[in-house]
Amino acid sequence: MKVDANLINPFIKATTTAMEMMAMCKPERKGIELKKDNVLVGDISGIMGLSGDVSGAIVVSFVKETACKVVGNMLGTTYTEINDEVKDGIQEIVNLIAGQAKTMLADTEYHFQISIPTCIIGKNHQVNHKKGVPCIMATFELEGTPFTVEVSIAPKK
Amino acid sequence: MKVMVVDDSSTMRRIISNALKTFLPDADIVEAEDGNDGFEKFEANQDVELILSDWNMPNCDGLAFLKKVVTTGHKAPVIMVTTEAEKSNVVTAIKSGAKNYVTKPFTPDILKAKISQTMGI
Repeated sequence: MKVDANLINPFIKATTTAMEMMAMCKPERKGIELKKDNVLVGDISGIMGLSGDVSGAIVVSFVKETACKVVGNMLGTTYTEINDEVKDGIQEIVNLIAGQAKTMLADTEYHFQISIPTCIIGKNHQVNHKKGVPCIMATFELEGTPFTVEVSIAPKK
Repeated sequence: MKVMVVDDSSTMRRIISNALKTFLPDADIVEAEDGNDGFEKFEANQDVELILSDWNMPNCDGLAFLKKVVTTGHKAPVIMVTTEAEKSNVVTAIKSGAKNYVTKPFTPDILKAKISQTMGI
């Protein structure tokens, strides 16, 4: 399947905006690549299914320290471990990113609906995206630690 | 002033509550985690003066919750606080009785401005 690299741009913009407005931090974009495996880079990943005119998903993956930092900034507190509050915060981050991207893609063939976010925890956890649908991964860095935003999305035939 | 915050994310409820306390320090905040919980708490807190509601929530979403509140004839304004920023959704919410609309992400200043505009304070 052909990969539309421009598709990732709304998600990148949404990631930067969400982090700046809600977590008071400025992530630096490091690169974009076509993902070739199912392993996530982080210890916790927020996931949201995309439906409607498309099928797919967005996954935002953080190492523990970055997840704690981001959610701590959002709530004006400090976390050192992934607890229920950090899990909920990461789910809200993916919701904020997907919601903005949804608006930016509203008038395109990639117009989608969003689901309720969930999260997965653990080292080397995996997410199997829909077979045959390419997954584009944007890597960001926040205070020297990477996090990723993966988008796998294709219009329904 | 009693304010109801309806959002399935505990993170977002805390963000909104923290922001509210910066400009409404005496606010009595009632939290609810979806539209069903929100309507139960609305019925139990008839002295509520402002309602802030998310849209995408499990069980009963914010639009359904908004319509239920409007049907009662209660005068508390409902402000939607949501990622649903498409124009058609904003129009739907306003036509259904929402008094204002805040799109996520937002800053405390944006929330404050929308509440001031809605409440005339």
